[in-house]
Amino acid sequence: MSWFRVLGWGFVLALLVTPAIAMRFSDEVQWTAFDFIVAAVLLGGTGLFIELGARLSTNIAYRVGMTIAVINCLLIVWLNLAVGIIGNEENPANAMYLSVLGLVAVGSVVVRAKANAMSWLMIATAITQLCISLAAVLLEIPADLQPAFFLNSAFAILWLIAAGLFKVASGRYDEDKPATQKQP
Amino acid sequence: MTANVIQFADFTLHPGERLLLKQSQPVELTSRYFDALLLLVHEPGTLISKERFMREVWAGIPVTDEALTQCIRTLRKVLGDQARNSQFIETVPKHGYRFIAQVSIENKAIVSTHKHPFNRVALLGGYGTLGAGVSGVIGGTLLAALTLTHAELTQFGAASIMFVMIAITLLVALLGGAGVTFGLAAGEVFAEKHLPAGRRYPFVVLAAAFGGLLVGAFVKLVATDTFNLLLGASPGDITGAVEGFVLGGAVGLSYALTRLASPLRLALISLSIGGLLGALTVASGGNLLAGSLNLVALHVPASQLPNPFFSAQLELIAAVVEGALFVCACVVALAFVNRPPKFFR
Repeated sequence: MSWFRVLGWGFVLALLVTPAIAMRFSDEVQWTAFDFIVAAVLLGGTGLFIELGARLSTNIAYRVGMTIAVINCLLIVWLNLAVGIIGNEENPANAMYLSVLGLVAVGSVVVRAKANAMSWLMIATAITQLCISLAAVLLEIPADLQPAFFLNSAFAILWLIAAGLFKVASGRYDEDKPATQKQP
Repeated sequence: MTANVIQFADFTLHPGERLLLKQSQPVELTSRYFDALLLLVHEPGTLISKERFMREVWAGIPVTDEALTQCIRTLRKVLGDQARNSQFIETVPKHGYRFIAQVSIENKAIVSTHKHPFNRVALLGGYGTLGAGVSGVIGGTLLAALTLTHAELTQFGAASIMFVMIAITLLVALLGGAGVTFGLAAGEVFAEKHLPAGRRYPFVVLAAAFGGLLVGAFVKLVATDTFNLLLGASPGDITGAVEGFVLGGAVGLSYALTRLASPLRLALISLSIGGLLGALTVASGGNLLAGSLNLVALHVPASQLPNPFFSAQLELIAAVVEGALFVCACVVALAFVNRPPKFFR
């Protein structure tokens, strides 16, 4: 059991217990049972997916890349449930984000989470994410699209960072390279 | 391609690559100490006077004898040598030092231990991004806790406020961390190739600061426009380029100062630098996350945030915490690239 896991799960637990305690002492904090269930599923689910991803390899770059990918998925789900990325949370256009989540989920299984393939999958995901911006414009969705453009670009950057880490983990750049520096 | 490499005992020295290997594992040495070792090894059996060290290694910069003594002490430690009965570096009292081990110079193919620069940039940037994300989750939780002390806001659903606060902070921290650490990584790779030893780290600090500036400017532009479009009012001078520049610089500075420090010192130095610069930013009129929320509360009535969201003292404290958390998390994550701790595996 590493420190990271203890800290991570401790944090999840603290997030769930704190409002419960606060409710006993203050009327201002009022979580319904539904709030607790949603929080537990989202946080616990993220933790489980990070655990699962970390189990697939002992390579640290791979684990960090996987963690970033899981966090990206979480943020997409989270933002869509809470406020909606395109327009508000009831805008049907947000269903387009299912394609991103589906691509990552199905793609990872299909390529069996192999590092080099994962890096290409992450690049494909980044492109899909950017395509949503394009699709939103082409479909003339009646909503303010600027936050969506920003978020799509931000997520694309994060997918590419994960791609870079998977690439490192795959060792594609580790072959002996001739030295390029000159003699002193 | 081949190059001259110098071998002694189970060490290999690549002058061109500026690399010292012990049984083909790279050994970390500061640039100056590397130069000193190079000077000794180039003339085995010869007495190298203190003056020569001062002239050739310190390039005439006035330093005390203690600096040279410390340098030799470090080299001995790295080589596993002792002052008495030394195998490698012999002291000639009051005069200088002599390299006494058998040295052979070979012309041989360089077996690359330096990985491709892509690795370095992707790792430093990737780890740094995730590190910053951790600070974002912690900061977002604190922010959410503060938000929930405002009774007016709980009508939106407490859980939903908590998640939105954490999500926004996490995303901004991830992006900020990416800008700063990829800037830093690119700067370091560039500096190691093209700059002389003394100018490398100032350049790395600058590169990290510019990474921060870029993200800060980008986020501010988008946030301001979004507020304008959605709620019809601009929040004004929220966190932007200058704040990004300062925080990026703080990360770069802490990284440069703590590259060879112990983990405890690394954490303490980065926490202090981050906290100090966070406080200075706010004291001199800048705004970090808490200050930005205040501005939103003030200028964007439609956001329904209570005004003022934070008192002035609380904003200052929040700035210290934000700066310290962000800088420390980035620097700790970057340190994992250079020296992966055992418990991480």
